[in-house]
Amino acid sequence: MSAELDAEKASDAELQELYHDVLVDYYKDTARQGRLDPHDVRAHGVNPVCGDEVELTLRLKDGKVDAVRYGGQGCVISRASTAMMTEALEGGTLADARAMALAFKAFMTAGAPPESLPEKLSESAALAGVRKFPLRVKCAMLGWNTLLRGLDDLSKGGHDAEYQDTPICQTGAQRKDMVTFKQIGDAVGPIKDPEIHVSVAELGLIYGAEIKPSDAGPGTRVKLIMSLTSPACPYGPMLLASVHGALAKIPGVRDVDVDLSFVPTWDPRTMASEEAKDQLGIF
Amino acid sequence: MTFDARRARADFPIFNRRVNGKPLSYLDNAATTQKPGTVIKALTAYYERHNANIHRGVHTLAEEAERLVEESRAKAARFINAAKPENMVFTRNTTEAINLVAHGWARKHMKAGTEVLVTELEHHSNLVPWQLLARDRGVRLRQVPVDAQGRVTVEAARRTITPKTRLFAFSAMSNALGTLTPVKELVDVAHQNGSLALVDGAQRVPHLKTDVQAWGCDFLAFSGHKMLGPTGVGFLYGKPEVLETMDPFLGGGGMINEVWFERSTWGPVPQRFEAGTPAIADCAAFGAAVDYLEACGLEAVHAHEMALTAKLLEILRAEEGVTVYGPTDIAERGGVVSFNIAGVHPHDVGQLFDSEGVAVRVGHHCCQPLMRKLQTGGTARASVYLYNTEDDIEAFARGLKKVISFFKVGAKA
Repeated sequence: MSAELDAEKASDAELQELYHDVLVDYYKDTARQGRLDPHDVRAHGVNPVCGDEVELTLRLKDGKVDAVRYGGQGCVISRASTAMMTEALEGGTLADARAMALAFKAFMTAGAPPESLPEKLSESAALAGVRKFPLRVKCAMLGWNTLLRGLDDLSKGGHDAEYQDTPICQTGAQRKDMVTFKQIGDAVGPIKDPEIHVSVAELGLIYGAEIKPSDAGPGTRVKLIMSLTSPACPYGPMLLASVHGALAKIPGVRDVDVDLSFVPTWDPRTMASEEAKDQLGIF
Repeated sequence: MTFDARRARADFPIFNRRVNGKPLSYLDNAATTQKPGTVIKALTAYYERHNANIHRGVHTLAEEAERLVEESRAKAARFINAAKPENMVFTRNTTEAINLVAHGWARKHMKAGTEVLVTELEHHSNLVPWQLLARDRGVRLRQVPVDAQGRVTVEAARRTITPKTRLFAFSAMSNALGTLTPVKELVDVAHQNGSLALVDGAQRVPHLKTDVQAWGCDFLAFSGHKMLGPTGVGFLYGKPEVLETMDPFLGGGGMINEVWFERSTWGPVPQRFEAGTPAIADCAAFGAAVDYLEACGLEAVHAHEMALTAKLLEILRAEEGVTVYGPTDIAERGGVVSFNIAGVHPHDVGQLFDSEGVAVRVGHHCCQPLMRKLQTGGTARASVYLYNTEDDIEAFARGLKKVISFFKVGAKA
């Protein structure tokens, strides 16, 4: 019986964690709900499986996000995540927005530590409990994926983007022959920066990952976006080679891309885990 | 005669497991049902003792396999009171049965400018096949409106049907709201207007005595997995004189009379519509599901289900901030209850119920047009079957209380 009672307790604790108070507050918050007219960017996203929907409108001024509003409907997780996102976007540049989106994606789907979230997104750490419920990760990502689609569209001169979430059968997490984000995390996790001997994941150097079916044949294409401790890091090529090698060894992987990104610039004070900071002597 | 659900429950191995440390309260029966041990054993027995391909086998195993499949066909025919087993076409599910009518009958007999009539209650599976037909053939697709309680009345059907209507395809029971429709009367409306009638029986056949001869419908589609059977087995019942006029849907082995390189002649009904190797084990095991339901007695099962449904409705209606959809008169409902809790998204409702071991379905239930009409994105839905007990209803009530206290429903933000 005690194992069952434990399971029951664990489940209730997980539930409390999933529906963190902060999330319920953001869900009920209406400050940024609505629609901006006129606007510079509009992006509309749906998850056809659950019917959740989000409409983002952004107004830009001097290269920065002046105001953001969101409409649509969704569960606590998707609405709260979107509310936090819109709050964090205001006042930042579009590059900041993209960097936040990648950092948040890495946090939700690749097991990056909460410390790796940019300062403005620190409240989003309350979404950590969602990671235990794979079906709900999509809820937390809907607003962000819609934003990324809108930003992509804007960079091509568009102002009105559509995002549709992929059905479960097409996502890595659910398909046996597709690689999962956890597998990527496990593969990259043990790799240490050759100079400072701390794990690259703990350092917060992994900015994001994408999993897609390979277009060259059966198997998966994995794209990892990572940074280096400095652009001139002499060990860069060596580190990239070991990350590349570790990813290529994952069963089911056909192609590997490791892309370097220095936006945002790596900052151990905000990106590294507490443990890594200890090892680096940052307090 | 009262039905002993607790005893029936013991026949279903899945109830030995726990969910989040709690006993499983499975209230998602409108999506699919659990399987009794006899059905699971029939599946393994087929593979362990009889596995062979059907059609043209002269060896012992092939004859046994063929006999098992044909016995299931005969049981399905008896279950809905079809005149003959040959009126029953094996399909994968209700969706495939409806698509078979869209391809084999409608594409042959319906000309541009004619109409398919459906209702606003329909599941996407009784909507999208007709949209595809409309696009390809210039056929019009029209809907009988539902009233505020989600009911389809005979008067509304009479008002909507026209002399151009060639097929009236409607659900006998709504999967999203639980509404029962007046099947016999709607079939009559179709026939009085020179139209055929297709009944989507997916939700009704598993729960209520069905008599296709009394209804007089031309087609009835239903699924085995919603009535204790394996997935991968469904049926299209068709009147023989209508099935005879239909073209095949899929071509291949098992459905022909003679084949030359250039042309073929079609085999007899129903094999004409059953190209290729079917899901033989599942077809065979479906028979065990019918046996189980007949042993329980469908009338006793239905009375039991409706007693539980009345309790669900009572629990939900007692809470402030809860909206219950569908007919207010329980006599117009089956064992499906759709609801929303003010300010809480159905997904979050489902997650909290799950933490109590209660499985309910959330979302649009493949009825997006109906949800739009109800002005909601989705609902939470509880649906009962013969193995549900008072304990499940109590667990449901606990889940509901938990949602309300957790999200502080009614409290000011």
